[in-house]
Amino acid sequence: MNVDWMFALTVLVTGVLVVFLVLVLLVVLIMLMGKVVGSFGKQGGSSASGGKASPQAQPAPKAAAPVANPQPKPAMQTDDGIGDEVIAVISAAIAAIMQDEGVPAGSYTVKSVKRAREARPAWAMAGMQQNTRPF
Amino acid sequence: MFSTIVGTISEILTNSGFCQVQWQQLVMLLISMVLIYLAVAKGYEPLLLLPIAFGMLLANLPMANLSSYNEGSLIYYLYQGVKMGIYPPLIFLGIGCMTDFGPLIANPKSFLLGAAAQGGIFLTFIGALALGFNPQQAGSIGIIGGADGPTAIFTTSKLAPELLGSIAVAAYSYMALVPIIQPPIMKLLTTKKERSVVMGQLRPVSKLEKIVFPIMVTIIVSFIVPDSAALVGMLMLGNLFKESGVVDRLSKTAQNELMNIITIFLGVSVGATATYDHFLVPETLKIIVLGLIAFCFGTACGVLFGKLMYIITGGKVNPLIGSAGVSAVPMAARVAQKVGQQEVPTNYLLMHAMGPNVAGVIGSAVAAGVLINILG
Repeated sequence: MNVDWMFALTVLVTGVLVVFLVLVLLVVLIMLMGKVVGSFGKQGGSSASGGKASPQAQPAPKAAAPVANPQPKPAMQTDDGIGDEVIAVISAAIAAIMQDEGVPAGSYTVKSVKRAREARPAWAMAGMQQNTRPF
Repeated sequence: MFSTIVGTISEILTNSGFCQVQWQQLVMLLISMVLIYLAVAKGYEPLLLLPIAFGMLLANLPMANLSSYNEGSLIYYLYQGVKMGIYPPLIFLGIGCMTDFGPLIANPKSFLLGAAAQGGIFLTFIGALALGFNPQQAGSIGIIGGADGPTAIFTTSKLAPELLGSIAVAAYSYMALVPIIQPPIMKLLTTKKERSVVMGQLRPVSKLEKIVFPIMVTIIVSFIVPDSAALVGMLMLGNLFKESGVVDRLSKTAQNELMNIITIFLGVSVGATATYDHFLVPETLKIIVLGLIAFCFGTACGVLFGKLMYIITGGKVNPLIGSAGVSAVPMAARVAQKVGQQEVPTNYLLMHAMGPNVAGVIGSAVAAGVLINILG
């Protein structure tokens, strides 16, 4: 079987090239569209700037944490905003699990309580899963 | 009188399927039953595989003359919609009504991943040529790598209608197997660090953008690749129905009743092209192998381009979403999400993967247009 490799290569190169060309053109146009529509939004009202301000406001309590911690020299390290009651509940939960696992009570110490990755809280995760289930 | 009755009965018997059946037809009946089993019990793309499989069964009944090639039979007339390229664009109309291009508009760079994953189509084209297929057939086989059923059927009906049955079966089977085929390739080509990338939130997309998008895409794509206009145009019309919000009734009909009717016609008549003399040939086996290669190449190209974007953006893009560039909406995006979550349980890549995923639909339609243009 004679294969015209020149022809095959031509199809390969033109094919990939044209597909990329079309889609790159679309990328550029959609970016432009995003810019144009975005600028409309900013002129239209303060809603866009308000939206931007809120994420900057959020990290503030986190920054306060290292300052607040050293003063009382606590027995365990905790993230700011976790109250004593919550610590007690978490410790009790750990104790209960450890007891179930057969670990004696005096053999471990809870040294620190930290928030798990804040990227997506469990409830937000549950909501997202529910919303994207149709996909 | 007695002899007449006996004579008639024996005549009916000799003309019955039991006496006239050929062993190849029995093999085809068996294959169709296996496919029905896969559709019903395993849930492999049942909406299409079931009608396709039953179409195969009908086409291989002895004496029934029900295949897509038997002029005058019911299925022959249904098949004209495939042959003339009517059904696939109408299916695309329905898909357009169900697709949210928001993630793609929010992150247009995903278009590049959708383009990269089409590399599998053209690489497989060369493989098929090497295995002795003519260029038209090779193009139709390559398009399996686009992982888009209607596009594959559209292209094949234009370029190599004699392969329609085997290509449709291969395309839909592999689409159903996306969750099995893709993850090993994705893991092989990425490092743990790359898979763990958590991507930032997508920006909200305004309604205006969502309305302008389908119009713009239709014009741009059709100007450059007019052969894609039927597929892309219908896809975008459906999307405009959805996003405009003023033709709710049309949108609902296109994505439900119309699409279901077309799916039945398409499935049965494509299945009925797989008569034993067309399907039980060595080419079918080659097509099935090449289809798998096309799929793997497509996934690999997407992931590798994802890696490139990971490097260029300084680690902001998770290369796993590249695998979703093969269309197979939304399965491929879900696979990217699942593999990502195996590394970081709280990571949610689904929306990011939907961008390349829907871009892949446009990408494979463009690739189909290019192939039809060069080879047709």
